Amino acid sequence: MHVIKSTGRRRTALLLVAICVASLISLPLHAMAWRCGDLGTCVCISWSVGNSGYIEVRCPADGAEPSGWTTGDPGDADGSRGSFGGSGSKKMAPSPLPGMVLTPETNQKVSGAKTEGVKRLRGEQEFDEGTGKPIWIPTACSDLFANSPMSSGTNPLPGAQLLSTYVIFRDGTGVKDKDNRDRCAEGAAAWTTCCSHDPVIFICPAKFNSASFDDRIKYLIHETLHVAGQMEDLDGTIGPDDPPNSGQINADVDAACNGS
Amino acid sequence: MIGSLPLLAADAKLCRDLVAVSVPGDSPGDAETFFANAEAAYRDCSGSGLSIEIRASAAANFGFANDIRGNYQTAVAAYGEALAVLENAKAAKPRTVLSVLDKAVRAELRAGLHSQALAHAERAAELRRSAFGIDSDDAVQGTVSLAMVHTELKQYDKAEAILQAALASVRKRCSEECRPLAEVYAGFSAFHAAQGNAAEVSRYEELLLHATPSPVRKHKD
Repeated sequence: MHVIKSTGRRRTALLLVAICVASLISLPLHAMAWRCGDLGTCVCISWSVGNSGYIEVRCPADGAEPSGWTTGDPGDADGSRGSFGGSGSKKMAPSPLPGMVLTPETNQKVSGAKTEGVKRLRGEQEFDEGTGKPIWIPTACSDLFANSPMSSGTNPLPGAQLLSTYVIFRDGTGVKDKDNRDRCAEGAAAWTTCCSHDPVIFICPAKFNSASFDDRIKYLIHETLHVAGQMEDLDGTIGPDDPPNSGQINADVDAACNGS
Repeated sequence: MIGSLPLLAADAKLCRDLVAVSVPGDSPGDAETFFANAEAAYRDCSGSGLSIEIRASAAANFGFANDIRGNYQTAVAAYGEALAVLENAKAAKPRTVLSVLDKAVRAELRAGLHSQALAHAERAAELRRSAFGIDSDDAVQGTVSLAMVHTELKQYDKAEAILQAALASVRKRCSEECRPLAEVYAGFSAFHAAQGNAAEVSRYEELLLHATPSPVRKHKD
C-alpha cells in the first residue's frame, strides 16, 4: 500500500509539472505592449540611426516588464516586427550613440562635476543616532526634481539617481539637434534633446572645460532637469504658462545647489 | 601728441569693454555678443599703445570664439599670438597665462598638433607648481590635466606614472573627502575609460564618490 501511494503522488507531481511546462510554452516569449510614459512604468527613448530609428524601453528593474528595444510602436511590441522584449535584464543602448566619446580631459571634468552634483542632489548628510549610519536629508537641490515625471510613481528616479546612472554623456562637437542647429558652435556648454527623457547629454568641451567647477555642476544638473522633463522657454515670451528660460533654470540651480 | 591722448584713452576703454568677457554667458544672445566683440577686439585692439592684458585678451578671445565654432587652426594661431604677447611681458599674471595655455592645449589636440599640445600642457603644469606651490590644489589640477593629454595621445605608461605620483602626493595631506583626491580619482577613471577597462572605471568611480565632499547638514543652535 505504501508503494501504491508513492506511485500515485509521483504521477500527480509529474502531471502538475507537465501542466506547468505546457503553460510556460504557451506564454509569449517576448514582453507584450510596453506602457511608456505613465508614472512608474517604462521610459521609452527614441534613437535615430541614419535614416531609421528604434525605441529603447527602460523598465523598472523590479517591475513586471523587462527592458528592451523595438523598431515599432512599443505598444505593439510582440516580437514579430523586429522588436525584442528582453529577458528582464537591462540592455545596453545599441550603438552607435550620437556624438563622440568624451575625450579624457572632458571625461575627467564631467566625472568630477557629476559626482559632486550627485552628492548635492542627494541632500545633506547626517548620521542616524541609533545606527550611526549616514542618512541624507533632502535639500532645495534635491527638491529641484521633486515634481518631475521621473521622480514619482512606484519606481521613482530622483535627481541624484538620474545624474548618477541614467544619463549618458557624449561629446556634442558638430552634433546637430532636431532643428539642425549645432548647439556647441552656438556657445552652449551642454545640451540635450528636451524633454522626452532621452538620456544623452551632449557636452561641448570648449565651454564646459573652461567653466568653473560649480558652473560645470550647474550645467550637468540643468541638463538632467531637461532629461527628467523640465521644459525651457525658447521663444522669449513671458506668460503664466511659459516654462522658465535657460537663464532662469541656471539661476534656480545655482541658488539651490551652489549656494549662490 | 596731446590731441591723440584722449583718442588712445577712448580706444583703451572700448577695447577693455570688448575683451571684458573671456567666456560667453549662458543667456540668449550672450554667445553672439561674445563672438562679435571678439572679432572687433582682434581687429581693433592689437595696437602697441594698449596694455598687454588687453592685447592678449583680444587674441585669446578671438581664439576662443573660433575654438567654440570648430575653427581649430585659427584658434591655435590666435592662442599663439596671445601667449607671445604674455611671454614678452614679465609681469603677466599666472592665471591669465594658464587660461590661454589650457585652451590652447585643447584646440591643439583637436587640430592634431600633438607635440605642441603636450609642450603647452607641460608648461601649464610647471607654471601651476611654481606659481601656487608644488602641493597646491592648482598643482594637482595641472598634473592631472597633463596626464589626460598623455592619455588622449595613448601614452598610457606616462599618464599612469603621472597619476600615481599625483595620488601619492595628495594622499600625504588627504585621507577621506578631499577635492584634490577626487580630482586624481576622476583622472584615473578617465584614464581607464580611454582604454575600455570597465572594471577599473567602476572601481575609481566608487573611490571618487567617497573622496568627493558631501554637503553636511547645518544644525541650527
